[in-house]
Amino acid sequence: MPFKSSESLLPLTPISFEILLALIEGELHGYAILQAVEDRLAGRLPMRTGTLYRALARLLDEELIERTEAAEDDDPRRRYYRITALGRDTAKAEARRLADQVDAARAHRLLPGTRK
Amino acid sequence: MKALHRLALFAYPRAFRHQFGDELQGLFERRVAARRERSAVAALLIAAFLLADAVISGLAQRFRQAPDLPGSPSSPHRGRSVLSWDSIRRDLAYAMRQFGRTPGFAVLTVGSLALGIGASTAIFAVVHSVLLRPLPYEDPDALVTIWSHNTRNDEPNNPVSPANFEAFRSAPSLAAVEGLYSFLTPAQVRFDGEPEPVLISQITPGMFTLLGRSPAIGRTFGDSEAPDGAVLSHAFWQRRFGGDPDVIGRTMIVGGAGAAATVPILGVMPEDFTFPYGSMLAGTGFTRSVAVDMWWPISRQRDSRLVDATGQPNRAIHYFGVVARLAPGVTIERARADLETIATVRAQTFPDTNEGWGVTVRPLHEQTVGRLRPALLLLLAGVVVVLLITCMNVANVLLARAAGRGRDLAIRSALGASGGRLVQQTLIESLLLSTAGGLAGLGFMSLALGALLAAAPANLPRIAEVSSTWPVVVFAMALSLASGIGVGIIPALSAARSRAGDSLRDGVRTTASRTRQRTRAALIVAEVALAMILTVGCGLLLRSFISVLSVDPGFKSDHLLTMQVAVPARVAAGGDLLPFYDQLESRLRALPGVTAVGGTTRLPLGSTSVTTYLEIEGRPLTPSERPEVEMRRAVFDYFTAMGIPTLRGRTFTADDRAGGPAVAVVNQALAARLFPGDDPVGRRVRFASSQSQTWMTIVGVVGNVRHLTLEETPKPEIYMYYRQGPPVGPFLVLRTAGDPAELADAARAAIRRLGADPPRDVRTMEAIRGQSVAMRRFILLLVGSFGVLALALAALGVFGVVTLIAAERTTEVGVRLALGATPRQVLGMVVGQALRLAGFGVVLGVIAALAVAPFLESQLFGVGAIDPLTYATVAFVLLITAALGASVPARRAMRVDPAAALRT
Repeated sequence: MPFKSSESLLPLTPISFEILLALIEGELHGYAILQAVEDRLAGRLPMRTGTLYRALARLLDEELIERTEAAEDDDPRRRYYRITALGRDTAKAEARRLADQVDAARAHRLLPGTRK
Repeated sequence: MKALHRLALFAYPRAFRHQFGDELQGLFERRVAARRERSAVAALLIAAFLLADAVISGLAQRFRQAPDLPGSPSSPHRGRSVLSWDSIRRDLAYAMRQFGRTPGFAVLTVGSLALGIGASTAIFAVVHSVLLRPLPYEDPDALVTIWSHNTRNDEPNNPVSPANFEAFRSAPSLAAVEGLYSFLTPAQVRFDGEPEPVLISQITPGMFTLLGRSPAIGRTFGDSEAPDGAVLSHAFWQRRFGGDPDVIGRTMIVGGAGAAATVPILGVMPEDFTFPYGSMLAGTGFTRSVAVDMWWPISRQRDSRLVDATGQPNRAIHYFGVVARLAPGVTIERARADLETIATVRAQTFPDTNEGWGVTVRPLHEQTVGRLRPALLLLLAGVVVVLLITCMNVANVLLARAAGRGRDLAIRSALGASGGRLVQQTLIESLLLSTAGGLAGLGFMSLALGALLAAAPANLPRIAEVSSTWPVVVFAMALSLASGIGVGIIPALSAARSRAGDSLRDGVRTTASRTRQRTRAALIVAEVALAMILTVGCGLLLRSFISVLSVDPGFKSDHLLTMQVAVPARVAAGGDLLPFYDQLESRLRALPGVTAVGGTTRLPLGSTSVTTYLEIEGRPLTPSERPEVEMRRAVFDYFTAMGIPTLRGRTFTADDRAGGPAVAVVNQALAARLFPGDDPVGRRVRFASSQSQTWMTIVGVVGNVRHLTLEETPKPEIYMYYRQGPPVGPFLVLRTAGDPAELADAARAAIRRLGADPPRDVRTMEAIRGQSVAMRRFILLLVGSFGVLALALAALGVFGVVTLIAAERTTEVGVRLALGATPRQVLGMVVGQALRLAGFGVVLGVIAALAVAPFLESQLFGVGAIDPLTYATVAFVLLITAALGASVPARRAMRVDPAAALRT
């Protein structure tokens, strides 16, 4: 497998980042990811299923996540998604990048709070 | 909804669909289900949202747009991203401005969508009320009907004998079994003063409990062994007593002098309660009308036929309908097996009566509306085809508009609008059109439904229950949504494809892209093919209708007036009916314009039939082997009046008197079945019901008459003479020299003067014959109008597309004309192109029609589903229509001024 740096994939799209965040705790199926993202964002519109899956497809392509088979007694249509090591690193890198940007914003007094 | 989403998933590229399609579908179902717990409206909204999402995300995926999160902080087009409130609001405003600029286009589009959606929804309202809605009983899915299956004659729907009914009650898989007479009984009752005719359904006392319905007021029969009393229908209660609640406890007098009984009114059933539906009577209902006025309990006191001479339940007469409730958790197959076992055991125990009799078990719902299913589904399919053609026309117009707006879109896209936004904008336009179409369609539907119900045959089961309920509205909205996406998808794709450069680089002479031309051609081909399918169906139904009408009913139906007369109760009670009949005959004969007077107990095509079992002298048969024949009495000169030919021997004469030798006339079918190759005249037969029946000598053979329907082959039949057993409620037929309808008042007056009640059902035989094909006419009328609509829409579609193509080819036409082509050649070129497309459509349509025609088989008569004449005629008509549609723009092309065309 060719080596891929976690930084090379930055910046992540917001939806990709949200998905990675949702998967940090453990593997989830599509509906659970949807609920997790919806809960966190409390969006004005319901989350678009199509957007979610297009992002999942891209994350799979980039090997940030992987897909597992359905459990024995589960709905056979249901697939689980799991974050990969690369995904975890990338999420971390993205978080650092965002934190850095937020710090910059604070420095310009766009946000309350002080620079560390 | 689920199917709609599956369809919408096709917007995604194939590989993506294969990988995630099932998951997306599963998620769609879960999300809709989750909202449904809150409310139906929320579920509908999320379904609409997700359907739009599937299409838009699918297209975006095809064009590899980056997925974005609505309103996310770092989105570069904040507030302008796909499916954000802001962008939707902008696109709505833009679409409204566009429509404001071209109101004619908007009105036409909305109007045609309203027509298509409205018509489809009206038919769906009928399908929903008649086929889909549960019957008005408690847990109706567990209800079944049971019939006796005569395996010798292969007649599965025979009524059940009282003895078998009792035996079926012991089936362990049935929680409850109740019975009803398999016919309705007309009777005269008196509340105060004059006797009134009422129609009664007689049922075993537990029937209401079995059906799980309680009365609106009062009570039903209860558990008493010998209940007495009547339960009124809601309609009768309203009509006769104006809904007076004090009716409970009032009494009515039943029967004439000498046999009169006083019967209390126990209760009134709720308005939505109907039982039995006509179709539950297995086609042996007594009269045409099936609106029951009241229910009476079946009891041994009232019905001497329930038991035989030994006091045991009667095994020989079959006249019960049976309704049963399956025990909890039991399948209908188990119940069937149980009942078959009972039937087998009884056939061994009582071979004389039960040999050759099995059982038929069928869900009550199927018994009630099963026969309508093919016809109604056919109508639904037909109207959906019309809607599809409408959508294709609208899609074509939108496509043309999209082409016209190519530069507009290109500029927007150059200014940074994403492909997804362009798709969204086009889809919002089409959804706006279709939603408006859907709303207007609901208005059109209520009109159409009114007309539909007025034209529908009254004896169509459950037709009175048709109404536009919530599911119908939801259906209309789903249709609008689907058609909005359907008509928008192709223009949307074409919008997304338009790259900034292409249109801007093009010179002034913008031409439609090759793909767009191909899309348009494909739409026309599909439209013509669909119109072909519908029109072929229409043609086949028309030919069937003509064949049915040309069936010889076995009598001359013109110049005949018919009516039902009740012999006055005092005459009937006196015992001797013949003096009344003699007076009746001389009065009617004396009417000016009457050339012959006849009568019978069961009118052909107008009422139903009664059968009996015959014994033939010198031919010993066990009871179960005895032939079943239809039975009628002939009154006055019945055969002469009806124009039924005498084929052998003679018909009845005044010498065949009461007390004289009993005589009978049989029809050709009976002669052929019971006396093949033999002369039946002189042979003797008698009813098999008891040994005390007298032998009747067959004196003649008459022609077959179509009694039940024109389509059915005549059955063996025996006629007796009224002088040897006068009926109390005969139908009369008057053959007239002039218009029979004009004689109605004179006949009514003559009968009144005899002291009898005014006759019922005064109708001409032509009207009865017309009524007997009412269902067929109804379906033909609807499918016919769909067919005409489809043809008109297809012509309109060809016209529109050819106009566009001709306009795009103006320069080419100018060059051709300048190079010496004659205008006639130009005409030929344009029309020829249209005909090539239409011809391709016709070929596809023929193939498709051949594939679906077998589904039509159940509705056809006297013509095969693959009838070359129909196919050829329809193809010809379609090609002519297409040529006509193309000729208007072609003529315009002929007149192109070459100089002007080349200068532009």
